[in-house]
Order: sequence, then C-alpha cells, then structure tokens
Amino acid sequence: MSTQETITLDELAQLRENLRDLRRTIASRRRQLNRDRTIGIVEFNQMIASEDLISDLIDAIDDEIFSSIIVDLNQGAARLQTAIDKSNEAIAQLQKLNNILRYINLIIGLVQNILSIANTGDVAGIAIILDQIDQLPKTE
Amino acid sequence: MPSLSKLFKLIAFASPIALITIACQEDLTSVEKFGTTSVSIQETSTKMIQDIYDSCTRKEYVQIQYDNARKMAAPRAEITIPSSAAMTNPDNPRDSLPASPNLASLKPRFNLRSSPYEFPPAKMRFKCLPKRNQAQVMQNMNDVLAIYVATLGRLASPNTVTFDQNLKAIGESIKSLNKEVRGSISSPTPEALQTFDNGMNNGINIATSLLNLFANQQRQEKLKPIIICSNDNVTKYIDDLQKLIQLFYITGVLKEEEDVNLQYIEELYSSYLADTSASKPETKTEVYMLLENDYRQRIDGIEARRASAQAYINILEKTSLTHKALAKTFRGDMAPADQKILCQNEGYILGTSLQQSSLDLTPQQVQKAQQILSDYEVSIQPSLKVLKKTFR
Repeated sequence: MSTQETITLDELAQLRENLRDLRRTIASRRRQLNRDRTIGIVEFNQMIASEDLISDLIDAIDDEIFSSIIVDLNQGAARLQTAIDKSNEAIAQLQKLNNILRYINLIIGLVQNILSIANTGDVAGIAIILDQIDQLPKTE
Repeated sequence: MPSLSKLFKLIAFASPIALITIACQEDLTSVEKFGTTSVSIQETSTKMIQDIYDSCTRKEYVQIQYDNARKMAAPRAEITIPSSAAMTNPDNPRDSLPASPNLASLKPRFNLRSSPYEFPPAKMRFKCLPKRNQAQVMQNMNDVLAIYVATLGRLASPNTVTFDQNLKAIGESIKSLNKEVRGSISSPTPEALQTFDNGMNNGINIATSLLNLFANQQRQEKLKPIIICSNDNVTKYIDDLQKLIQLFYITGVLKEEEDVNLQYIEELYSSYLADTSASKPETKTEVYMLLENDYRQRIDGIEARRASAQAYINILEKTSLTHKALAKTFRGDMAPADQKILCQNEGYILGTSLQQSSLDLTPQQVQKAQQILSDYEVSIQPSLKVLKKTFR
C-alpha cells in the first residue's frame, strides 16, 4: 500500500521562506569568511553557486504555487462564466422586448404612409414605404 | 359628452395602476453601483498585476549588479569585468562599476530608480518572459471576476434597457396615424382630437409603467438566483485570487526583489569593510548610512507596492463578504431544499414546487441590499485610496 503525500500551498510558501533564510545565511557566512581572509576562490565560488541554486529553487517554487492556484481559478472561472452568460441572457431578453416596441413603431409608420398614399394619390411616397419595409426585421 | 366620460374612466383606472407599478419598482441601482465600483477597482488592479513583470526586470537588473559585486569581492584580484555587456552602457556612469565601493562612486551609481527599468535589456526581458505570461494569466483571472460583477451591475440597472423612448415614439406615431385615419373619413373636432391625445398619453404612461415593472421583475427574477446560486463559487474564486496575490506576488515576486536588493547592499558594505588597501577618508558609519539610505530608497517602492497589493486583497475580502451578505439577504427564509431546486434548475422554477413569488424581492430585501452595498462603498474607500496611490 502506498500513500502519495501532497504538499500544501502553505508548506510550499514555508519551504520557500526557509530557502531564503538558508541563502541569506550562506551569503552572510561567505562575506564573513572573505573578510577574515579564511576562504579560497574555489570555496567562495561554490558558495555563490549554492546561493544561485537556491534562487533557482525559489523560482521553481514560485511557479509551482502559481500553477496550483491557477488550476483552481480556471475551474472557478468556468463556473463564473455560466453566471455571466445567464445575466447576459436576461439582458438580451429585455433587449428583445424593446426591439419589438421599435418594430411596432415602424409598422405604425408604414400603415400611416400607406394611408397617406391612399388619401393623396402621391405615388412618390411608395419609396418611403419600401424604405420602411427594409427597416423591418428579417426572418431568420 | 361620451368621450370625456370615457377619458375620466380611463384616468380613474390608470391612476391606481400607475401608483402600484411605481411602488412595486424596487430600486436595484445600488447593485448597479456595485458593478461600476468594481470596474474602477479592476482598472487599478490591472496595473498592479503588470508589476509582476516589472518587478522581475527590476530584480534581474539588481541581480546583475549583485553578481558583479560578488565577483569583485572574490578572494583573488584578477576579477573579470561584468559579463552583462548587453545591459551596460559605457556612456552612462551608472552602468560602470568601480573596483571597490567608496563614497564618491556610490552616489551616482545608486541613483538607479528612474531610468534603467524603462528599457529592460533583451537578456532581462527574456529571463522575465515566464513572469510576463503568468501576469497575463493572472490578469485574465482577475478580469473574470470584474466582468461577473459588472454584468450583475448591468442586469440590475434600469438604464441598460429602457422602454420609455420607444413607447413615446409609438404614442406619437399612433396620434399621427389617428389624424391620417380621420383625415380620410371626416374632419374631427379639436375637442375630439384633444380627448384622443389625452387618452393616448395615459395609455402610453400605463404601458411604460407596466413594461418597466415587467422589466424590473425580470431583472429581479434573474438577479436573485444568480447571486444566491453562484455565491459559493464567487467566494471560493475570490479566496483563490487572494491566495495568488499573497503567495505569488507579495511573498513571491516582491519578496525576491527585496531580498536581492538587500543582498546587494550587504555585499557592498562587506566589500567596503574588507577593503584595506584603499585609503578610507570616510568612516564606516558614513558608508553604512549611505548604503542604508540607498537601500531605503529601493525598498520604499517595494513597500508601497506591497501595501497596495495588500489593499487589493482587503478589497477582494470586502467584495466577497458583500456578495455573501447579498446572497443571504436574497435567500431570506428560503428553505435549503428550495434553494437546491432553484440552483439545480438554473434559476428557472417552472415545473418545480417553488412559487413564482419566491423569486420576487421584497422591499425589505431591497432596502437591506442597498444598506449592504452602501456599507461596502464606504468600507473599501481607504484601501482603494492606497491602491490608487501606487498604481495610478
């Protein structure tokens, strides 16, 4: 039976802080030894290399923290998107109602112009009617 | 006067309807304001997120200086010149490092805050590319929350869809049509026309009120289940976003920038202490003060950004609490089983055991919601001020 241990975000953050402490300690020790002139170039460079290695580890932990949280946020974003879609859908429904009113107004205008042509016999008005018909919604 | 009598009857009928409809139109504009405030916060937080990349380039710049300082402090004398040829500019005194730190050379070199970050060299840009991509992802996640809140605001706003203009136009058209119809039959008296106009105006007013009432009910019917049913998701999402800012930006990126700056300054001070060859007209205290001053200057900016990021976390916390409080208010005494039905049916209650009235907001609920949102507006102001101060 094997158990897979997972590390929590807080533990990762703590590990990162511990590594920073270690890096500071190494740097501080390196400086002290250098001031005391009790360190050779090889050891000095090794200590610098270890500081840089710790920096790389810290970077890797940063990336791990980022990825872990982003996985959760991605899932959450999909759920929020559903709520956003519903809100937009409701707004679109109200907009549809408003469009119907606009079309009613267009139809009244159309009828009025037809009557006007019938009353006056002004056939030039037909162009206006055709323009109004063009503004009416097309069947989708 | 039969037409006048009809008119009186119409007015007598219209008045109570108009009063009822006005009374029933609960004002949801406070939710709209919730949306507009969030948009303003989002604009500012965008700049904060962009700082993830900027902080990386600043850190890389100091890292190069730190590398050079370490090389110069090495036990051997034959130290090579900085390898970062890409970033050094021989014409710029700030970019040329002295063999050892002394008071005269520190002054110009430490004036780093203004220009170098404006043009991160290619090497630093390349190294910070992952951070730029991460900032972009974080920006997208931040935007999702902002869009959610802004959409709630749009849905709640009576200004998003208004019927007044179209109904007024219909009224004018009908009056005009009436004249056309009468013109083709007989000449109407001015009184008859006036009566018709009055009746038409009343009719349009009633229609406007009814349609606005209908729209308001529609808004409430949608808004209520959206806020109730998405509450757990929203609060979890905000919690994750807060974690990301805290663990990735504040204690990650910014902390690293701060650490590299500190290490660099300590390296310089240590080198100064170790340097016995050069004559030292300055005292240790003077050099220490100078370095301390420079460190303070560098850290001030980081601390301001940290404080602003913390302020943004506080705003997110208040937003989460406000959403929770709104959901609780809108839920009212709804039984958990009913809430489950409501959310499973995605807000549609047709064919369920729920009553249509359960979707309506009571005046008390609207009043309470307004109070919650008004408290929210007040409570976020100090944090918003801090956030805007740094990320204008």
